[in-house]
Amino acid sequence: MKKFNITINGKTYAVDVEEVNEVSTTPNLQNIESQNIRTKSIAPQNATQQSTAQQSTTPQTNVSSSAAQITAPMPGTIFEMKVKEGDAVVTGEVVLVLEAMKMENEIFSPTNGVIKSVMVKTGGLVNAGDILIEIE
Amino acid sequence: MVMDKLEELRQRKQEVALGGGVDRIKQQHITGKLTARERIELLFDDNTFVELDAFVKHRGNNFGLDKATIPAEGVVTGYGFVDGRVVYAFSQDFTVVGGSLGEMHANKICKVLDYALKVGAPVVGLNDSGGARIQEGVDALSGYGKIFYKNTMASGVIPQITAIMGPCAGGAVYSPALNDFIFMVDQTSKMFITGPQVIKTVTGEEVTAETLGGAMTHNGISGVAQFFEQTDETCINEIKRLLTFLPSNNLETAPLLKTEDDANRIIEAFDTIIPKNPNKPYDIKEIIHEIADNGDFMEYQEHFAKNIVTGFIRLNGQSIGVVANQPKVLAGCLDISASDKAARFIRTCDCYNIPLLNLVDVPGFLPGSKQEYDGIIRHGAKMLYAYSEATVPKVTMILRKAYGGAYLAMCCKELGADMVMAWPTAQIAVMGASGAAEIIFRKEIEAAKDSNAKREEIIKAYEEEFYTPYKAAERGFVDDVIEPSVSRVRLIDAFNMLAPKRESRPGKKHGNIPL
Repeated sequence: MKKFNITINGKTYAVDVEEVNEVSTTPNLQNIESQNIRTKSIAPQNATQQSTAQQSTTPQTNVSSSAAQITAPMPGTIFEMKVKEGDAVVTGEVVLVLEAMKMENEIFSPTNGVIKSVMVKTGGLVNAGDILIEIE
Repeated sequence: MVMDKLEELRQRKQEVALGGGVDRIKQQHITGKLTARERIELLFDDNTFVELDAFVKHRGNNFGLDKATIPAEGVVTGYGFVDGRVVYAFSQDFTVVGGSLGEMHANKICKVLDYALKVGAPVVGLNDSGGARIQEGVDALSGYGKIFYKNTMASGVIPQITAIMGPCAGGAVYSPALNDFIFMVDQTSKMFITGPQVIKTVTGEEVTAETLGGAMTHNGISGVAQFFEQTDETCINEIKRLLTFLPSNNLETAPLLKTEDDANRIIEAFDTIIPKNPNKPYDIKEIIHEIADNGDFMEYQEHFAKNIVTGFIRLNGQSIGVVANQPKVLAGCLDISASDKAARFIRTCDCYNIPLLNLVDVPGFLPGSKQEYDGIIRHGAKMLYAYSEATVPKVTMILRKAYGGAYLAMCCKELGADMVMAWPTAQIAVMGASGAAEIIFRKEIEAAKDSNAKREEIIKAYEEEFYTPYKAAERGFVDDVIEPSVSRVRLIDAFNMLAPKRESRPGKKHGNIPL
């Protein structure tokens, strides 16, 4: 596994590149598509991070491609957890209740799977886009 | 001699009807698509379709085009009856040079738009085209330009409906985008400005055509399309259903359909449908289905900005456009996408004389820096503008929360609602209790020995005082507070009363809606 910071149109992407077949040459950007290489995770960083972290190897949240993330749709407080790590969930099942905008909003699982990790707990504050739960 | 002439005519028509030939038709079927002519046949009442310009021929003479035969120029055009009403249509034929658009192909489409505008009939465009016919160069490009112009001229005069039933890329996307409605068929339809190949070359990003511009992408993420359909057949059936909710043009009203559903139907369930705890969500669609004649609700942008629900119902046979907050999604907040969706729908209804019903349960605008940076002020303003400029009958029913600016944006009295009704569960207030308590009584709370207890006490007092419809009713902002069970009866009555409504606006070239 190799890490690359790729800047495209001013946006920096941290890319983990994994070689699937034995490839003799070191992968470079020009022939990245022609070789049998699978890009594993692409996480955009914002521009301010880019200038300071250009050379650093700050690890991105590493998520295998089979994991699904549930993120907070809006800022609020975790009102109730309905699942814990290791629980099996099905698509459409309520995994937690997020209190936001004077409403107890049910957050549903987008997929079938097993809860891999829970990043929040009851009473915790979250911002829009924060990862709440990862499902495998 | 006469027989020879007849024979020749029949022969010519037969050749045109075969399009790109048996093999290509077979290929079209293998990919799960109907042919251009099969689609036309499904759309129109039996034996009513009249084809125009079957013998039109291209004038290209570069790159061997002079030797090419292109039956019907790759597009079937004409008019016919849909449920007894005149509708114009064009249907691009992918079996004929990929349905590519050249000068004369475009002229055929323009003729349809001209004729439909002249008689005030809707136009249905069935798109299935590889794009511009490159061999014809700028003539093809000019063709698109002419279509865009005519789409715009017809906008707001005759309903224009597009179905994407195959590829639609590059400049071709903008004619549909200028229409009133876009349908897309799952898996077979694709829409994008630049395709996956170009994106790969320019940015290195790898994305499939389906992910980039498939039916769900444009119904769920971009909001470009309004209707998602599984197959060509259901797509065309839904187009016909949509037409029943629309008038033929801006000078008419949508057809009144007789209904068996009782106009005096009492809906007991409404008395208990709002949860006791005001922080509990419920599904607004249940309420819409209950109110509608026979529970029939044709949802507009079902998969986009689900925090606001829009679509068409009938009330005692009359076509009505519904705009409703959805407490189940994002607490029913208004955000950028919801504002865009609602504003476009409101304007669509207003230009085609479809009265508006607004069901309100809104806690406010969605907070957050992303919303502010992306211009919620500019986008939210579209709703205010669209409601204010609309002259169709506007009836607002407040079910529960109606706070602050979002309450105003959901067509309050001041934006021209002709009738505002509220359920007794309504809470019409400038803001939520906890926020208001913190601002108005901050000093009292800080000064108290037990500030938490004081805060609770103040919040409770505020809720009792202001979480009702009566403060607004005292000022006349709400015309009546009603028992929820009589909602259907009262709405039908209100729309009947408002049917002769005439309202004029100051003369102007056109308004300047914030875009």
